[in-house]
Amino acid sequence: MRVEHWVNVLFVTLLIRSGIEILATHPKLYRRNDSRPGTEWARFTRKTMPTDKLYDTLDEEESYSSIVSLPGHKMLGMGRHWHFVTVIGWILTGVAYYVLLFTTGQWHRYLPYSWSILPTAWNDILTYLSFRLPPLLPGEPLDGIQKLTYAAVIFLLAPFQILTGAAQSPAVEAHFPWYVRLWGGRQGARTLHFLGLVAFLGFIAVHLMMIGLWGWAQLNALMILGAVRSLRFAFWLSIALIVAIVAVHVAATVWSLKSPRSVQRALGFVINRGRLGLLRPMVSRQHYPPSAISPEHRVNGKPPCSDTYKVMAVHNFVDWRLEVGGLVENPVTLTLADLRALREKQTQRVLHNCVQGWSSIGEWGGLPMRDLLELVKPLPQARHLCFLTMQDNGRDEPSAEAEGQFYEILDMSLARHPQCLLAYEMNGAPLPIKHGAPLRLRIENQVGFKMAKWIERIEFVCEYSGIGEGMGGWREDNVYYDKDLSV
Amino acid sequence: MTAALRWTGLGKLISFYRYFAFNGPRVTTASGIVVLLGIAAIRLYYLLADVVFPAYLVAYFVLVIAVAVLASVGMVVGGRPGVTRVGWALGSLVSLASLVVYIVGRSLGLPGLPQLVGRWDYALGTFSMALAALFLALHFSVLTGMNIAYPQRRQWHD
Amino acid sequence: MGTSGSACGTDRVDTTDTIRPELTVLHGAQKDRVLQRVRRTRPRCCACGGEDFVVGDALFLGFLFLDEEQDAYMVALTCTNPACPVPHSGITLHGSAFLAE
Repeated sequence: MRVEHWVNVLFVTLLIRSGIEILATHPKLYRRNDSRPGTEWARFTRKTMPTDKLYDTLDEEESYSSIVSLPGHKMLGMGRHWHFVTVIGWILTGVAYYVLLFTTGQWHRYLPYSWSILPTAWNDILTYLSFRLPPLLPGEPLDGIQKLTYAAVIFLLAPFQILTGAAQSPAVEAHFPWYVRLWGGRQGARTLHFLGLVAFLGFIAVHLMMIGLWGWAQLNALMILGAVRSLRFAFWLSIALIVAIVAVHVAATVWSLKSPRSVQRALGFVINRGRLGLLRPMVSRQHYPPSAISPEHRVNGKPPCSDTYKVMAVHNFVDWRLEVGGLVENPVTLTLADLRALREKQTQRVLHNCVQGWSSIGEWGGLPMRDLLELVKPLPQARHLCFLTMQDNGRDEPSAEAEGQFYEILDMSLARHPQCLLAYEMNGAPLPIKHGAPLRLRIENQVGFKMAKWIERIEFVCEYSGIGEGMGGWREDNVYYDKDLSV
Repeated sequence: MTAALRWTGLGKLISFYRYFAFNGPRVTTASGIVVLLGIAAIRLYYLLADVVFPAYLVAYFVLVIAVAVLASVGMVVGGRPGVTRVGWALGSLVSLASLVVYIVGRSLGLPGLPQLVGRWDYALGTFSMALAALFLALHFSVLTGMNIAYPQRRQWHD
Repeated sequence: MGTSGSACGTDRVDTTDTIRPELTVLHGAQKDRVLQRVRRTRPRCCACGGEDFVVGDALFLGFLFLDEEQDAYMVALTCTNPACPVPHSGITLHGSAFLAE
């Protein structure tokens, strides 16, 4: 358990820095699911957006210093990898800690079992306010307020962070809409998670101050060696441990900045085992009421700045064609009218989760992907769908990290989900240009950028390693996200 | 000036500070009022306690209570920015005064109360200092734009 | 100002049920002004060389597209030649040139 304390120090600090990187990508906090521009209750950015041109949330992304964020410099993909791999480690450590705590009887140290702790803690606060140190509890190395605080952090704050974190997973939200409502919605959970971060920072500051006040060497001897002895050795060992933790942070930052692809592969290998096992089976079953629809659904990505696209748009996309081919028995070329005629439109009112953290609720109408699969009849070796779009990031998206045609890879198993849709309508009207007209993908247990917009072709493939950089999509290739984005 | 800011690291601090902005006018004003009323309540406690204070100190306590309550009312009444600004200013004045009087009393002494010198070990006094510092920080955050106070609204058009 | 070719396809009739919200339906006088502008430049259809066009709706470009000026609109043009393989095109104009009542 004493070892776990230092492991926890490493994990919590990694979570804090990587969490700040995640915050930097959309440094605004909201109260409601709509994330309506201008309604945020907090901002951590100095950027202002234009009012006369379309802007998207990529434009709003901030670049924070590597001192406060891991790794900093607008690398959300890296921040997410570190955050999720650390969460796995922290949860496993926490479970082991709880088991040890209760099987060794050490829980007595942290879990109060008498109401008398409250007046004792109150007296301790008054004593601290008198610039004096209160007495320790009998037989314990803690005073009353410290015991209460440790209990709150171990048994309330830590689980709170995990639960509010889980409430921000698109897969969890899609499969258990009641769970995200429990936390006040997607943005409510995000705000609470942020407040948990602030609470942890506050706890760490006070904790370090307390150790300094009560005796750094003595308390570190107790924490490391189990007894107050060899004070000089304990002091230097504590410094060495802190230096080692800092070294891990520096190494993680440098590795991420210099070789993000290797971080993506290494950490993604671990994280994806968890994702595919726990979250992939969570099928979306959302049915938000019409009253929940966001008056202004946020936008990410800018429409294709090509004359071809503009001419198609002004003619209501009658000349647009969707080509569906690759490993299928029956390749087709469809117009919008063809898509509408294939079957009665399916509508779904769902919560959209951008990887950057904002959300909105919209009603999408279109053709279920299952029906397209039934029409084209994929061959047995077809395992993925490649969505090719009319967007060119070099031409259309100044805030993009790289150039090239935007594409996304979707696994066949996801394409069969009941709420996997080719949407040509939004909120009862033709799909707007800024939201992907004439056709976009909806796959509700994944983050937003998987839902390719401005689609022109769907290709069925057996593997995607030869497409782009081979990571499963444009954002996966260039921003180093994982291909599966159920969290 | 810029050179001075750069060399002292103050420029970086100011730059870091400007990254933070909050949109909670009612929460900000309510917090300020709660803090001011806390300062007033502590003085009221002194007045009602079984202790005999010099007349000037009693007058000072009454003044602090009155100004704190007046400032609190000014911070919300009428919804007029000019009035609320005066309310906040009065609040800072009474906070600063309470802080200064407490520190002077404990370090140099007050007329008729030499026994206060060195008596920092007084929990309510420490708490009162904290409240005063909190109000001053809150007002500073409003003046510098990090926070806004009722009845102002954020003009975040994007 | 310019004339752009269409993407592909031969559909002449808009088969969708509703006009999309980004489009502005033009009335007679506005369409006449567009035609005057078109005839001034004497464009020819890229696909068949025809010189006659029917004016359709207008799409406001200035807000949605980064490469367009603030007041830019794309106005739909359809070649009147029934045998034209690619009849749909468009012309980019300033709104002030044709929208005024």
